Amino acid sequence: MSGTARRRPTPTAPRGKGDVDVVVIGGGVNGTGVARDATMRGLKVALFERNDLAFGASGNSSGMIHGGPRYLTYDPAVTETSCRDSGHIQRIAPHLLFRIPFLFPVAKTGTKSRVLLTLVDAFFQAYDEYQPLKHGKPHARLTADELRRLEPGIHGEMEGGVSFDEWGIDGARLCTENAVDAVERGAKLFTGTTIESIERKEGTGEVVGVRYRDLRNGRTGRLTTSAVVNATGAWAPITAALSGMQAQRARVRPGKGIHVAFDRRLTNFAIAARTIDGREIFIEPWQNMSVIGTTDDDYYGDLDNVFATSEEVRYLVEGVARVFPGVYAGRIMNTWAGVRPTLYKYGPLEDALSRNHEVIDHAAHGAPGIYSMVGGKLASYRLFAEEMTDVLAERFQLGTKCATHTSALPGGDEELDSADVAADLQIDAVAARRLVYRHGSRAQRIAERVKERPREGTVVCPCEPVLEAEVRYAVKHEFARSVDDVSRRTRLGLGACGGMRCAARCGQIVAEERGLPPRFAREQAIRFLMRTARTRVVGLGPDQARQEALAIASARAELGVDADMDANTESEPR
Amino acid sequence: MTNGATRAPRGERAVIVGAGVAGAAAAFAAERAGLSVTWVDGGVGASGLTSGALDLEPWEELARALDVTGADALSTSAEVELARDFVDALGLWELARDRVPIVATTAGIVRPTRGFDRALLDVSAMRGRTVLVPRVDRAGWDADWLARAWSEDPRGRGVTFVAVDAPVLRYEEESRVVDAELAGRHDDPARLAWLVDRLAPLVRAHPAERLAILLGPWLGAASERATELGARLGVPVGEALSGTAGTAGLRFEAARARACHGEIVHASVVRVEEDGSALRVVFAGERPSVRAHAVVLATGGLVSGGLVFSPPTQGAGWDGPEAAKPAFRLVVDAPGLEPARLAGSMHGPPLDEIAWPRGGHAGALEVAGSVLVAHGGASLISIVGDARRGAPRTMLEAISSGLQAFGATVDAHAPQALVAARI
Repeated sequence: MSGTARRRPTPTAPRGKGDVDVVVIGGGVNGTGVARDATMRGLKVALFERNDLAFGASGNSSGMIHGGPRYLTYDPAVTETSCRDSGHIQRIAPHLLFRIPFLFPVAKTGTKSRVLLTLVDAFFQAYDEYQPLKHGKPHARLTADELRRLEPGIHGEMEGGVSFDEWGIDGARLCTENAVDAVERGAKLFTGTTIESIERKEGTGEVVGVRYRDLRNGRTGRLTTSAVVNATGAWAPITAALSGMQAQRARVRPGKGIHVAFDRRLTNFAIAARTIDGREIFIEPWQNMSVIGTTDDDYYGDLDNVFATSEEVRYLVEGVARVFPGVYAGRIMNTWAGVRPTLYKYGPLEDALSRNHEVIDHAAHGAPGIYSMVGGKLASYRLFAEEMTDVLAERFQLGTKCATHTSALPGGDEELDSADVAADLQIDAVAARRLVYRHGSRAQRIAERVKERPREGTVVCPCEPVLEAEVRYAVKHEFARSVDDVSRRTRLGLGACGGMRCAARCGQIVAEERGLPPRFAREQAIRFLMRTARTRVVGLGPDQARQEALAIASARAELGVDADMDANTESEPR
Repeated sequence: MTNGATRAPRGERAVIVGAGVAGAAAAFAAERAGLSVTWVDGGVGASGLTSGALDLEPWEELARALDVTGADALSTSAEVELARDFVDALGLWELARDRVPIVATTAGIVRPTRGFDRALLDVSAMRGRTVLVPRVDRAGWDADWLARAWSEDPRGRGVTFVAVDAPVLRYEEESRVVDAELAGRHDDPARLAWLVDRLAPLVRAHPAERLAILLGPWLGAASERATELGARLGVPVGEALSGTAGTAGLRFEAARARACHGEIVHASVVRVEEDGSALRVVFAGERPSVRAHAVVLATGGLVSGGLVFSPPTQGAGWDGPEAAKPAFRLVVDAPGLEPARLAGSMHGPPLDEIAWPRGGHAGALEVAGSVLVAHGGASLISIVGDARRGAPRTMLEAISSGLQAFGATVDAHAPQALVAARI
């Protein structure tokens, strides 16, 4: 068990005493992962998420479950656990994975670069040891000519380079599928619901319950519980303080990271690059586009409103342009930003911080039954969740073993041929492929909707593309409550048109499925358009500027843009 | 607004650059002023993507004003009166006279406007009627939901929208073709007759005086066919308003030549130079330049491509941008056009501020444009429409600025007199 904290004997608790056994706070990979694991092991779980599933770091990462070669020299244990768990994720959710082959070019600078290339080669030889754990291919040493043949856009005189192998994943889908599985096994899920306080017993300090509030309709409630898992990532100190503890008991060092997405794939390989201050960044082919990442800066801002700035975008673009200048001519159509909950340490530069994870048992702080999960990476979320659930198993004296590495996530049980889906529904081959990518075998359930109601086979978002049936499915079975939520699960509205063609229609469907009056359809659509516009303009270029002006005109004509619409808070009828 | 109204004597040549709605209005006004007009048509740009609403201000502002002051106070405005002759000449649109027209949008909203494409159904005239909304198997058209949303919208009070089964699509692929394509098919009289036959049973089932039919933006691309359809069915028939890139823009494109009888030149202008007491308009390619005593730049904004956003990083080399360039510029160079301010950064303007409208303020993308400053030849040049900095990007604003390029003035206190005083 890696890095589990200062343990002190925690009192055990009987199961079934409260409304639930465990309240998990946080709908990212760690929270949904624990909710799934704990439910599978027989605990009664309630999962609370203040915004939406994958709202924070989990849905705004590089979208890779990479082995972390960067950590190999100073933290090889992180590399090993990442690789091993990456292999497990491939087994339980094969549909969500896609290969991202990397190139690591070494520029020619005389003897120095020859030595460097040899070192890089040796380094990746060491990394190859871990590749079988995640079914990756071994690296290859490449000459300058080979490098250029693979990616003709690489600039400058090269000494050579290496290739290595990583896996991409859609982090938001991963969270959604963990949550869906937990709920299907009996967990309760509350999205858009914040915990207002964590109640503890006088005297022993033991946790007894939580009070919560639905942020959209104001409904409040209370659940009794014997354990609380704080899996709120960068929000961890805020959450810990809700129990009356000092926030520092679950301290993290929040590091903001942004990504910049282009309207298409600019390269076939991911290319490693360096920023002006020497940090390692990359441009990667990711789903149907190219993505540049990432920054790592200490963050002191509002965690519910994290946005990339044009400074950050320019910093990254300039870094990639040194090795791939074509990026300056590309069309940026999106950015995203998240805040990593890195383990706290005062002093080191952000990049040098450990990517390890840690379960904090707050029994040590006089709050038995409360646990915080801090640190971690997307690639090892499952292992982190397992370690956390092991601690819960001890508290509740469970005999059952973890099975999250062998039991498939929803949709991951069998392979579905997208060509069959396309032929069956008479839909576009690309639409079918994207559908099967996102839902795996469960695409069949969406296909059945279309067969019952052919109308639902119409394409709501032509960029991605997303069928009407999938939007309805996301609301009915994947806990989407707004256009934003649907977009997180389906990537609706994230294409170059900026939601101009789909936001209004998606708002209608969400309102209809949720039984809300039509005006909510409009409000949701406008809110989505405004929020996503903010993520696009920080990378604005000529083509997107034109599209942006058109989208504004379109929204003005059809929907109207209200002055008071940029307020963050939504309100829904009770 | 500094457009610099030109004062060219009769018989002199005016060159109107741009064939969108602002250019059409300017050409119309120039001809009325007795000038000989050369109209440079490089395509219609944003006007070809118009939704069909003739707004003067963003409609939410109109809606708010209506809530406060009531309909009568706003049923007319100086700009609307000024535009009336031009609008009549085009024969495409209807301007408000004694009521505020209301249109239903494909987003499920009912909203006021100052004027509208004649194909659109004026919901304000439908009070007491049942408006039938045929179920049509197309992506953006969920008749049941739309009927419910429109009926529940407080601005549509007194009108009941009801979804009904009626065959509107003739071929299976019409579920997927774009709105404009479907609209174009109704240009064919045989197809329109087919639709009349299909909709007739609906009309027979209800008392005609209590009925209307509302369809998507599918009724004619070369000209509107809603009026004819309505006449043959004996009930009002109209379209709902879509966002941009609907069909109203296509109909403007087909009708715009009616604005002016001058010479139409299909070319693109690269610059305007001073030429003694007059101006010279220089074209791209081999085409000889033209001397003019008045030049109107109606080249459009970002949507049309008359204004371009080109940050210095765009297409830069591996080592970054070579110079700090202005980010927004008009594609035509002309004397008196204020040079855009230099970027405060080598990498371009602070993009975080170039946003969508927020808190009642238009974002930089909407207000970007050029202004004319006092300069030798500048008195002979005007900028109209979306090319201007700070102007609302609405149809009536564009029309009004185009008309004002030749001396027409807007006098808010005497709308009637305006029509007579026109040039």
